[in-house]
Amino acid sequence: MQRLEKRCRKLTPYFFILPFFAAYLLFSVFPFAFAFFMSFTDWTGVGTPSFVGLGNYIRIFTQDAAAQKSFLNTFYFLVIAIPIEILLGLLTAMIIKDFVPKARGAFQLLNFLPYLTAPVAVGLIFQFLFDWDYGTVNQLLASIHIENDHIYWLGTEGTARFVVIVVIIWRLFGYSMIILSAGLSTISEDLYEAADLDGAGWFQKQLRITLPLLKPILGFVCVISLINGFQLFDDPYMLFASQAGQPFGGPNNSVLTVMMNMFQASFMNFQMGYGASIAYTLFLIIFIFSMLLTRMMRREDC
Amino acid sequence: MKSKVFRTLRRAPAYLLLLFTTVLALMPFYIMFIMGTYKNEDIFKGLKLLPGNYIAKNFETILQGNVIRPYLNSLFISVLSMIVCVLVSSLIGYGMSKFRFRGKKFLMTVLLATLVMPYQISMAGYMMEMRWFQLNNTLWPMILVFIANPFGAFWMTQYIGSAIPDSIIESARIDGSGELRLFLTIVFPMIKPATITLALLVFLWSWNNFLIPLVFVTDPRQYTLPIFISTLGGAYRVDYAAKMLNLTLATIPVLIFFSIFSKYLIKGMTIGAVKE
Repeated sequence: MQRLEKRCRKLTPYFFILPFFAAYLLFSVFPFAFAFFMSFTDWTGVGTPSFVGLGNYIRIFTQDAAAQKSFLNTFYFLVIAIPIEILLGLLTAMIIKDFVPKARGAFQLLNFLPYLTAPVAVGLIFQFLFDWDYGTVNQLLASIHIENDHIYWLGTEGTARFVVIVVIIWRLFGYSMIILSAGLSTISEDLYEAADLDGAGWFQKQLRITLPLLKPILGFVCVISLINGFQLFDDPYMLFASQAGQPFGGPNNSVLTVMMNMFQASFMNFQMGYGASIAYTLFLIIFIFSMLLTRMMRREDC
Repeated sequence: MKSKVFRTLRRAPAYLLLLFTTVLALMPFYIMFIMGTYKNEDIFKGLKLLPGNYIAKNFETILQGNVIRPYLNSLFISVLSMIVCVLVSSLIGYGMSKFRFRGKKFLMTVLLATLVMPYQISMAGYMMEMRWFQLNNTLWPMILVFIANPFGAFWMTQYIGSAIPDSIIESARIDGSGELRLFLTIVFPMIKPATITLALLVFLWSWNNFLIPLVFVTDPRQYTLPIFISTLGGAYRVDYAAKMLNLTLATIPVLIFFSIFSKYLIKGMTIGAVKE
């Protein structure tokens, strides 16, 4: 009798973790593994799949110019947008902490609102702001007589990319600000007071004290921004894909991101197998970056 | 007196930069709102920076469309995802933090490794699975994906591990409380701050989720709010003013909701970045 009870006790923890791992196996691990299997086939989603080995992956890197361009585009966006976004977030966080400490919560929230907004909605708002005809940006430029000819923002390659970068920065800098603010609050005030005694100015204090101490968190924000940035889909999709006369990836595929390319292959052209191989190529990249991330987090532990 | 003026002057660049980012952050929302208050034809006639007086008429136009349904669908999906995810996460959090068992370390490593892995990667596999279950063209694919959330599990494990003293659990056990009752009546009420944070995060993710409904939803009766917004993008030059008012109504109420609880949200988002 007692032994039975003891055995029951032993099973208790499994009872608590069961719902999670059951759902995890069913709705995360299985689709994940199955997509991996699909990436080696030419499956369209119906009929029987036939194996093509590494064919899909080879196709990405040797034949599919659009796919290659989508990887380059995504890198390009991130390399330009993330440093600006983080710098803006950092400056905002520092200023809020040192100059308006009483209104801290309010300013943090206001700058954070873009991040909370549905990216689809963000895409639509910016589609409106940058419309060549009635868009606010062009009307603003016209009203101060800088540019009387309406700029076709979303219609040419360079400007289309510019708009996407603006959208990324706008939506994400508040996130960096929030994370970096949390980092700033862990730095001891004593350090700044000591620097004050030495007669250091604000800029010097930020440069000599804040930046070095914030390095690990800056790295964290950087890697998280990259991992999230690789999945860029909603806003560029909304900016271009839904517009009349615009090709799916914007003018000349100049804003086609990897996720957009995956979506197009899998769910518009029904090349499910090929789409899965695009997703897994991206997975490999994200995997490398998340290894970096876990290593950084671990170092912080000690 | 003089030094105070001098100090403010010296600080001016900082204030200006903060003002700049704040205005930058709010401007698109403001313009979206303003455009919704004008007559469509007037939008094309030059820059508008002050509200117009056509909002009631635009509102009438909107009500002719199908606005309520997407809102209710999104609400249903997000609330259900939130409840199930919080419950499942607290259960595993309790199991992982307060028990010793075989395989625990391995499971924890798996959780950590998949913490930042996006589910979008497995979209094609998920699509096929839902087809086999005959759940495509229902709202379920949008809910099921949030049940087992590695972040939720991780967050709850950490929180319960540090917030619930072992002695409380021990004494409840000595009193003869069953394990499930112990969890529901003692542990769960004690972890309220963590459940609120997780609930808000799941609600946010689910509410803004776009890719999954884009893949699965074809029937307009199952439109979620983001899908509805994407149809507003539309191919035709229709009523832009009504479109913008529609967008305002789709975004602003939920932003106000998040603002009220922003403290909890921010707490959840900064976890992992900073050890407290």
